[in-house]
Amino acid sequence: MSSVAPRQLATVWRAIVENPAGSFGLLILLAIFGTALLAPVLGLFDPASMNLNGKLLAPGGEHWMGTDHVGRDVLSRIVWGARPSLTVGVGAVLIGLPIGIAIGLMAGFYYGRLVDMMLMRAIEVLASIPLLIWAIAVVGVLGVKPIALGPFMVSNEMKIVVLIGILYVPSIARLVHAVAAVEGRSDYVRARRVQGASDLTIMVSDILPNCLSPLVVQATLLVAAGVLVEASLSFIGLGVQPPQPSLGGMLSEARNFIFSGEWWLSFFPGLVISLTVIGFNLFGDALRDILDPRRSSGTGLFG
Amino acid sequence: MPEQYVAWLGKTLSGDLGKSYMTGRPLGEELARTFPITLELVVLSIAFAVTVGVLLGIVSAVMAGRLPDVIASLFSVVGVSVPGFWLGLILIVYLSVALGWFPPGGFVPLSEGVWPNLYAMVLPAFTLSLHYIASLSRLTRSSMLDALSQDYVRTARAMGLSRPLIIAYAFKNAAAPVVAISAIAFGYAFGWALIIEHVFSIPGMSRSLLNAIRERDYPMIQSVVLVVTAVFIVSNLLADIVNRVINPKLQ
Amino acid sequence: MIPARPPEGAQHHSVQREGMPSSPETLLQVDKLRVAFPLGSSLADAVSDVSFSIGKGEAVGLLGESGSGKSMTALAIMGLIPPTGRIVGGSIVFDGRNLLAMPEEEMRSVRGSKISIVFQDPLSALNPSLRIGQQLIHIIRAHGRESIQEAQRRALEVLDLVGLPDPTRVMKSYAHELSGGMRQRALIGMAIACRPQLLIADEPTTALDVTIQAQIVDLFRQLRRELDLTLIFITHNLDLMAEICDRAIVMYGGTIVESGVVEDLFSRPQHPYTNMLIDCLPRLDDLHRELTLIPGMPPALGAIAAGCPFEPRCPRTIDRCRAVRPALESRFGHMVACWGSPV
Repeated sequence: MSSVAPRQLATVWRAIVENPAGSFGLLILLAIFGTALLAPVLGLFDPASMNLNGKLLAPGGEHWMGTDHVGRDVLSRIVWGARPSLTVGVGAVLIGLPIGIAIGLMAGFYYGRLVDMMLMRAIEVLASIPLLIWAIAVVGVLGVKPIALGPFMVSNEMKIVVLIGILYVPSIARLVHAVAAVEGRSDYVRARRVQGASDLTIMVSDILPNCLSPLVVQATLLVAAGVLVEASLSFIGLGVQPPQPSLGGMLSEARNFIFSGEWWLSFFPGLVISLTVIGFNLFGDALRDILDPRRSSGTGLFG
Repeated sequence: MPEQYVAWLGKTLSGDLGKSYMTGRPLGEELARTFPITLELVVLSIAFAVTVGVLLGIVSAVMAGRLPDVIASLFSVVGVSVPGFWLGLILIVYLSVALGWFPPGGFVPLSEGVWPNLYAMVLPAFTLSLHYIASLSRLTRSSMLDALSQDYVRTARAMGLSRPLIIAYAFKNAAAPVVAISAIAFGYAFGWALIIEHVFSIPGMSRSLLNAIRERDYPMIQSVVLVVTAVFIVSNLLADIVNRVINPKLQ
Repeated sequence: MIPARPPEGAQHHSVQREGMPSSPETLLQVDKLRVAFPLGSSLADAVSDVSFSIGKGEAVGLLGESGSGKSMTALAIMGLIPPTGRIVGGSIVFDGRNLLAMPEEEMRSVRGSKISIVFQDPLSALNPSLRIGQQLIHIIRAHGRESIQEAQRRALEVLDLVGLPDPTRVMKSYAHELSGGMRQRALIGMAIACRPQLLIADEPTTALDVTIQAQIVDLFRQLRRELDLTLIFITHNLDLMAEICDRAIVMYGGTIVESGVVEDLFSRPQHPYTNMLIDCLPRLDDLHRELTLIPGMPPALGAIAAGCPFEPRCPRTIDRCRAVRPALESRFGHMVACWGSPV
């Protein structure tokens, strides 16, 4: 894949807009991120205010998505509950990216040398850790309360972000490593060395741009995965703690009402999670198609 | 602490997982009880996912661009995005509570009959498999499209071979990445299976783990994590071996 | 040896050649074939207004550079045009039936059993994960009711027929375990396993060493004799073509520019392109002459506008060449499409 210079950003943008699936995905993402970010000013019900007189109301009237078992408005709980999911998704990638890029660049650039072997061996060890289980276990052991790390108070959310972020490092590092290993051998890199550029300069300004396209696609998909992991953790009680709203937590509470017919309690939170992930997947796939047209879309055998 | 850890590691590797803080019973005993249940769930799910996913992928590839393919692609995106635990809940609400077709959860041991056991597994296994049906069908589709565009497929057509045989020709060469990814999926599925178990109240390893977390039973937590990680590593190794075995043939 | 002069405007040629019977019966008739591919929002011709006929027992060479449309013509005959392309006009009549109007299921039974094709690169043309024997047996059983044992026996016969020294071992081998020449023999074997009437060979020797090329050419000659094969031999190599073929059709830019009996073509080439092709051949009797190259490049798909497709590279153009496409006319016993005066 080629690098994406600012001038080419406009071309990519246009291509996305012309791609129906991609623009739909982007629309979903903008809607969800927009609502989540603007939550305080949207004039929603207070997600924490209970109203036992108006409990378990079906969707309609004032409460577009109904109310839960203590009368809280479902819609506003969903909007506020989306925030931790999105934070974890984006945050984990923000942590994993710099570490993964740094490791991948170093290892790939010095491909075949000791640095490469050691770094990629460490990456292999990290990659053999199944994400979900370890997230559950670590949070389970450390507890869901904020813990003190020196002078800092690390919130539960922060713990999860760091944990997932670290476990994202292998997939990012491997991607960058693959590109760096090839590009590091190329003629223009050799030319740059002759020009007197330092290794670090070459890595950052010449090799890194070539990784941007696959990285952007990968990052999109990793954010989606992070959203799912956070929702799963909250679902089993290890993520955001009640009474704070979280999408997974709302689904967990909804379990008590499966048999009694309050369908909106389980339907809407899950729908929002699904839509968010669909949005990321559609957008990411469209990006991949645009940035790497070599992939076969094919016309079939008998078409 | 480090000394204790090394001692623990040594004992674990020799098979002695220690005693649970909670029950005082050896951990191995409990895991020997719960692990097979989770294993059954994962095996059923992956087997189903591979069968359906591969078939779907082949059909999508052969009919690329046409309606069946478009629908399958849409389904793939949704299937890969929908959280399993939500799907499980929805299925319970509609297929179990409303229609009464399936039990809403729980587990029937094999000792009470193979069919009741499998019947209770239908909803949970289907829920777990959906994500992998979606991703395996995508993978099979693209691998098949690659194979179908190769010269030997054109030659097979030129020699007048029948359509099913040509598809088989292509698939034989497209299968390698699918098998490898299926092995990896098995490893990942083990983690997600614990969440699905929780939704359907299946007494597999998830119960051991979640109880242990609640009771601060650290040895139990460690043991479950160890087992799942071991399965994960083994499945990744298997995938690696598959890749290595298939490839040299082509050289 | 003076070849018989065909009457004006004749659609097919009778060939008098030592040792070869005269067979005026037409096996394949291609009429105004047009194959186009979408380019942007319109269609671009890869094969344009191509007409020729092949008589039973003939060996006809289809000559041209890559992009001349020769391979696409062969694919059109076989019904194997890439899915993005379309046959926009014309007819291909084989044994009395128009192949272009044939339903796919019928066409499938024609392929491999009545008309066969051998492709250029045997390594990529053979399925890498099946043994040669398996592929051969599949082909034999696709066109008949043989049992597996019978098919196996026939397969061994075929492999022997194409000159493979150890057929049993070849049956058990994978494509990558054989040498280039053996692979091509095996591929040819697969093509003739069901005794087709017409065999198309699309650059069958291009991917092979020069020494092996000669062997394969010999094989084609031998097969032609033993199986009474009609042959279309596609190549860009004049020498090779001259060794096997009685007649040649020269294509450029998707159209036929010259066609005729091989001796006529060599002795009195009329089209500038044919001329230059012949000039390009290194000559044994003049080793010191520089290798001539034809300046310029063959036209890309869609780049041909009105007029003669060879005009940009032709040393003898006149004004008319750019405006109007020349039609095939008879000259000195063979057909030429050129506005230039006879040479």
